[in-house]
Amino acid sequence: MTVPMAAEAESPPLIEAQSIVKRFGGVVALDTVSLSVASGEAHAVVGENGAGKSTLGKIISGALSPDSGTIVIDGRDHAGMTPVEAHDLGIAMVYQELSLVPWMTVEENLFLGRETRRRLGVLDRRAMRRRALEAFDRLGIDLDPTAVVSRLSVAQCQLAEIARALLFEPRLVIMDEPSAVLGGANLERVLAIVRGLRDAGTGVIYVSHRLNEVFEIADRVTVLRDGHWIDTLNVSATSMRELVRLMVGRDIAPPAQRKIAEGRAHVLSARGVVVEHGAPPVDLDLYAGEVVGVAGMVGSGRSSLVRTIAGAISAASGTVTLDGRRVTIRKPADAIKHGICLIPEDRKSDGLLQPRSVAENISLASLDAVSRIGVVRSKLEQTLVLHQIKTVDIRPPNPAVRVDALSGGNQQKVVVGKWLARKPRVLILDEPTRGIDVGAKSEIHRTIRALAEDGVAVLMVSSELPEILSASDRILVMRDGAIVAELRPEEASEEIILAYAVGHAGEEPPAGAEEQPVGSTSVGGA
Amino acid sequence: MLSRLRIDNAPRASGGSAGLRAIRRFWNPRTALIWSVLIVFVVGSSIINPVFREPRNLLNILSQSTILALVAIGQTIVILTAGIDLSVSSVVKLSAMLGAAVMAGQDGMLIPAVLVMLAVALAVGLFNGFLIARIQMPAFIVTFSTYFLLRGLAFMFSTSPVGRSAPLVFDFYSASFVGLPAVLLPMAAVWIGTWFVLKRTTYGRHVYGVGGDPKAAALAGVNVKRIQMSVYVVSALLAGVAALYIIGRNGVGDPRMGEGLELDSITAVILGGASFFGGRGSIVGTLGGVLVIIVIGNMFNILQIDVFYQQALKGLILIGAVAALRVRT
Repeated sequence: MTVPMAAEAESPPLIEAQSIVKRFGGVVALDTVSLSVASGEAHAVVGENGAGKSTLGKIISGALSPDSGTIVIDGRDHAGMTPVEAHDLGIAMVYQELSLVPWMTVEENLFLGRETRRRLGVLDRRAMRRRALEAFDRLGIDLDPTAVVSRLSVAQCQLAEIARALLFEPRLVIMDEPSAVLGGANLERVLAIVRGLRDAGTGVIYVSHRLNEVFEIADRVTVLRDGHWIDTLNVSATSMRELVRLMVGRDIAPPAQRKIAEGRAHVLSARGVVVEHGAPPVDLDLYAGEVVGVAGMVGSGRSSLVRTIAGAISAASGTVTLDGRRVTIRKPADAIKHGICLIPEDRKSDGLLQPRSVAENISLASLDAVSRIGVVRSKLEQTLVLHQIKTVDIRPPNPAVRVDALSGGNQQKVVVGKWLARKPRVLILDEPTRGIDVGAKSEIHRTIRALAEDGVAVLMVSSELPEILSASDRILVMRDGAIVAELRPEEASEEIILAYAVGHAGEEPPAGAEEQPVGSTSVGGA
Repeated sequence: MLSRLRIDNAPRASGGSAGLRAIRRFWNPRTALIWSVLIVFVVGSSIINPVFREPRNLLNILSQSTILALVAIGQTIVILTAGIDLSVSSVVKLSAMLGAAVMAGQDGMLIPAVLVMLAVALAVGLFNGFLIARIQMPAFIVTFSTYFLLRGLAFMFSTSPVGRSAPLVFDFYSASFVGLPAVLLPMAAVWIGTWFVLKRTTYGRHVYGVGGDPKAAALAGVNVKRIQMSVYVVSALLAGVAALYIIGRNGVGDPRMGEGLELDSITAVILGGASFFGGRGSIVGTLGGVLVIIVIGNMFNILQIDVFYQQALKGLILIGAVAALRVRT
């Protein structure tokens, strides 16, 4: 394979990973992948979820050891080094799954495992405080070193994580999706930090699936797909479209035009639901065969609304009618009994039994359907599981694989498959594609669409406006616990949705938007 | 990881004067709870029965607390790593019997006896630690098994009291130093030493890190297995020291000694605000927990109330304290 070198990289590369192979059980995560990074180079690694990006990063940082292959640093092979050895070689990593100890302070976490000490292991707390503040200053990060991590926001944790990686000024930094939980000013800060590192001669491996970031900061980009090296390109000589094609292995088709049947059945109606104290009551109607997108800023009550309907939060007031019959939903089991299924936001903790198999996870919510007098019939279970694996396209299609060995995208497919197995009347998805990139995303969108065509009413919360716009038949915008607008996708745009979400729309609706309720749904709080 | 993160919650300002911060360091809410309970019990007991507040009785309480305190300090370190050590009472039992047997009432045999006791403790600690850290067996199962194993060995060795305390040990147990029971001195040294190690050394940070999140600690370069191994060794060694105290108190090596120390020490640690899931807790809290347990026992003795009531009350307080911590956090 020919790997183009960065223009300025005449000197030997800082690090050269050659023919790396890594298996998890029977799953091949990386198959003879190579990557080289020069000093002062920002090297992006892109690929779908499950492509092996994180695994590659962890192997280079010493968190995982490869089954075969070499990692050459300073002319010597360091494959299989420990994180401590990697640290001593000047390699640091910002992990995607935050790796801070929740009950310790920021400062204690920064120095964990590499404490500045005096004799006999006694801590030099003053030196550590000085060093931490210097690093915060250098990186432009505003954090209190004495704050306990469990009290920080996710974004603050991510910044602390970055500060920890950069504390000892490494030669090579691996950043695994550092921007996944960041937005706005914090995201800009991180990109500025990466540029600063690059300019100071540090090598950066930047794992991301936000391609626009790649074009903003990277010199070269390596594309991985299904654990294989696909290509390494100079960023200046490629395009977004080409990268997407390489990542997915095909051109992504534009979403098919949707047709909503006239006279569709009224599946669910909620009246006077109060999602939080002081918020106005919300009314909501869902029809068979439609996808309703719920947009709004974080904290606007989007998640509270859908979680209330799914019984995950008990409603303060309001009534829910399903197929014309009044139902009482106090807990998730009530909702599930009525065919209302919630695919939660946090698949790791709320959606899956991580150490159990794909099969067990998929059949968990449908055990009544595959058992007789409480005994699980393995034949029935197997049929159900295999069918779902095929429907949502879990890779590898092996029911015995432990869920925690799968990539994020495939884990999300397991959650979706689990609820599809129940054949829900109403499917509620909270951020169904968070942390998932192009390919897996479009597969999940396809599944959602297929479900709607089968007559399921779908309610989807998403922070990604393009997703709301492309996947919804009807868009609700929430603000301060109320539904402030209801739009058809053809009359909405990212700007219009945002205007309602942040409250800039005011009395004058932006051009093209109608404040008139569509269909028979009343608009709460208008 | 970080599954209990609270989102959109800015860090609390860490202002206040230096003095206030120093108080806060010792006086975090989890620790404060048990010390408040202790104060309530001490004041309440003093009002109910004046015998309780006699200086002689108060000093007695302190010396009674030393054995449990030593074991509970070890238990604290173990529980901080999200482990548990159920074998401590059997370690105390066996090494006290062997120690008394070797001493056989002679001061000359004191050093060999102590060496034997510490060797037994060290072996048990290494055995527990090896199985838990290296073989990755659950701490509960491993230490529960060694609890039975050593207990069985102790009764095989003798079903009746054996040996005799060296006079030095026996005299030391009842000696006093500037008006205080001499037994308090080594105990206080161990206590302050452990506090310092946990708060001010790399080892202490690593213990909290391993308990808080072993995966994060390992990624940060902490040798998680070595830390896990070490805490069982420390716990067993402190149990060995407690055994020496028991010989001093009883004068002989009695197989009935040490009963219930494993549960009482765990109770003290949890009362002291430690999380059973590791990563949170303090030696200051544990000491409060130890004193509460001893004060209850002392009060019930003075009032001559049946021991069963005492056990029921201990259970209630434990549930109450943990529930209070849940509610406020």
